[in-house]
Amino acid sequence: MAQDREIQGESATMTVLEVMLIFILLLIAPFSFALIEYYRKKDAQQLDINQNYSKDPAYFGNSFMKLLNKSLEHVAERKEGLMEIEISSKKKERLLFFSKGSIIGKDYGDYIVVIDGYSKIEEGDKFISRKEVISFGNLIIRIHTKVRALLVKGGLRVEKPLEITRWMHVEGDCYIMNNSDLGINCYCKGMLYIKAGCSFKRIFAKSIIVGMKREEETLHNDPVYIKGTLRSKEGLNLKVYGRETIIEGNVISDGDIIVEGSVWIKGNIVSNNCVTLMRGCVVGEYGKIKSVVGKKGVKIVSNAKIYGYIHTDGEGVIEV
Amino acid sequence: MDILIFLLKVYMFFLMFMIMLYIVRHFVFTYNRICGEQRTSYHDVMDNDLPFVSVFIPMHNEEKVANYILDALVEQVYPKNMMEIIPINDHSNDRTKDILDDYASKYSYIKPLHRLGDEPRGKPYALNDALKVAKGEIIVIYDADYIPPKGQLRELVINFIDPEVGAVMGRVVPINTPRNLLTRLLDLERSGGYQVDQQARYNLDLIPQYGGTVGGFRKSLILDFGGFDPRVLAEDTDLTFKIYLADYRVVYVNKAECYEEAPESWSVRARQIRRWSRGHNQVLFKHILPLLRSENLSFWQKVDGILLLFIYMVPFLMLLGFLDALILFFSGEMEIFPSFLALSFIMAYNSFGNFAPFFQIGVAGFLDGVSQRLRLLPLFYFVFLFNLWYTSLGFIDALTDLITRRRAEWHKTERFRENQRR
Repeated sequence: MAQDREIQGESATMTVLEVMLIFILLLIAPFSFALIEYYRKKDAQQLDINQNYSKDPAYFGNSFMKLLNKSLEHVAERKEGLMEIEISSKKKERLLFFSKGSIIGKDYGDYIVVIDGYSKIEEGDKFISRKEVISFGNLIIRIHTKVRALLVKGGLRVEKPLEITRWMHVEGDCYIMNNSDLGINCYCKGMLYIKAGCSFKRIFAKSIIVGMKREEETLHNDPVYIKGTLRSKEGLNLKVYGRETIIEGNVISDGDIIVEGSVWIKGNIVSNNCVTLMRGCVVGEYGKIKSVVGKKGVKIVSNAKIYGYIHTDGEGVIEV
Repeated sequence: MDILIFLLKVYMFFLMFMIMLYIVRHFVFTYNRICGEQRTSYHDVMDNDLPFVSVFIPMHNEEKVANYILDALVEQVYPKNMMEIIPINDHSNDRTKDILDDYASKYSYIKPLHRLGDEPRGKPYALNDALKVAKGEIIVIYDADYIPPKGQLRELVINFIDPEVGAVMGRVVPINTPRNLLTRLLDLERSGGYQVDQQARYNLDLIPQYGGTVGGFRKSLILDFGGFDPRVLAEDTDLTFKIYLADYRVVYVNKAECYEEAPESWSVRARQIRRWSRGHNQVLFKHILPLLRSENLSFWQKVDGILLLFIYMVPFLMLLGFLDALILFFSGEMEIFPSFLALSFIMAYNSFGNFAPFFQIGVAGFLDGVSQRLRLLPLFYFVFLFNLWYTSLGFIDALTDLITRRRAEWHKTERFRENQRR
């Protein structure tokens, strides 16, 4: 009996010791990982902040052009055909050079296509490139074209559907006559005329003209002036036909904003939901940059003119 | 004796309930940041009609860091004819004055304000004097150890296109993270506090805080308030509540990130957090009743405002809770609500860090794309104890200020950066 009790006591002592040991191990375990990281310093650097960052709608095109120009500096003579150059320090890229003229539409795969002068993409069924396409002169697109990015140093005319996956940069004026996807970022240094349906995320241009003529705003019918910013939490619906209305300020809402008819907003439009611009409204002024920001979507129906910038994290649609 | 034990038990119950409230608050913020709808500020807006802005840099013996902030501001892409930089030399007795005069001779838009002689020293006094000479309707403030990226002024100022915006706040990121354990832990605490806490409060239309640096406000608004209150050490929190009580709001811009220098020694950190606690609790005493009575705030803004105001008082209450628990334990009265006990301990465990619990920091790390540094999280247990003590001292300071009508004196945070330029 006494021996049994001794064994039971020993076993109980063991159990308590085991539990204590497990407890101490579990207590220490997380600290051990912390101490390892403290001494090894695998992730001890400060979070990275780009000290040179500033908002620039032409960022993609300009930085790519800088890389390309730097690479082309080492090229003695640009000949039509294939060439391998180092665009960045990471890897070599294959460039396909075309001199000015007519470009045949086909699948160019992973080649960067560089066109030296005024050109037309007009023969074949479809022009495809999974890399950037750069034109140093004016460019006309007359067949269905699908590219990762498009950089045009001159003007651009799009007559058949154009699909951009990433960005588009045009230094002259740009005419879009057919349904197109303008990618994540579309920058146009000149004027951007859109006469067909388009989808987009961000567009910047001196003026974005949808289904309208180029002329500057003229006032008729003794317009109504509203000075100051219109601000609403619920949403705003500005529908004006007949007497023109000029808002000399911003239009801001947490809800949807709908602007329709003869309304000229000289400031910005910002919504945490959707923005719809319809039938003749104008945002901004010639020579200035103003914005239309609809977090969840921007829809432009028939005629509208925006001087500056359109931005959405959702879906951007232009219906003409 | 029975009444005392009863009161001690009630206090324990109250404390657990309060900790639970804060934990729920932090969970809601963390959940919102990863699963909820994210609200943007106005930084996506491009507008070339920017307002005239005055940039204030309060400085007291800042020779180690003055060059960095001034160089960074000179590099700003903001139109120079629409800005002025007013470094406020607040009774410096090192080379600060010479450095500022040197910059002023090179750049016409840098206009130092030298505060010398018998004028009282301190940030609120300095800011009030600068407000008198500032030309801009928008005021942006940087502490002297900050290094803003070149697009930041525009990113902050553009938010004032909304007439409801009274102030704007950017994100603070320590630049000296690798220096030692303290700076690494502060880096994590800042991440949780800004990347998750501030952004979630902005998303949920609660009360994101104006932090007194990397931020700006409308001059007319602060002049209407009668300027900064020199009796309050936390002039930033004071302004936040004044803004909300006046039916304006604060915009938080997570994208407007700016480097700061975090304290590198525990003694400096102790003084800093004690000062913050003292100032924050002064604001609590000042604004709690107006907040409850205000008709300009929603129900949830009031709830958030109350929790925000009390946040620097909680460590003191927890310290009392530990004492309470000890008394109850030794008097054999610890059996309070057994079924809730385990839950209560979990709640208490979760509250490590108090200002940014571990799950909040974890999500911030995920959003910032870092991983290994999160292994330091268990060490926040010690930070928690450290904060508990010095925040409690700060609370006692504030309470003493209130009772004795003592006037708080401003003490600047020591800088550690080695001046390698000029």
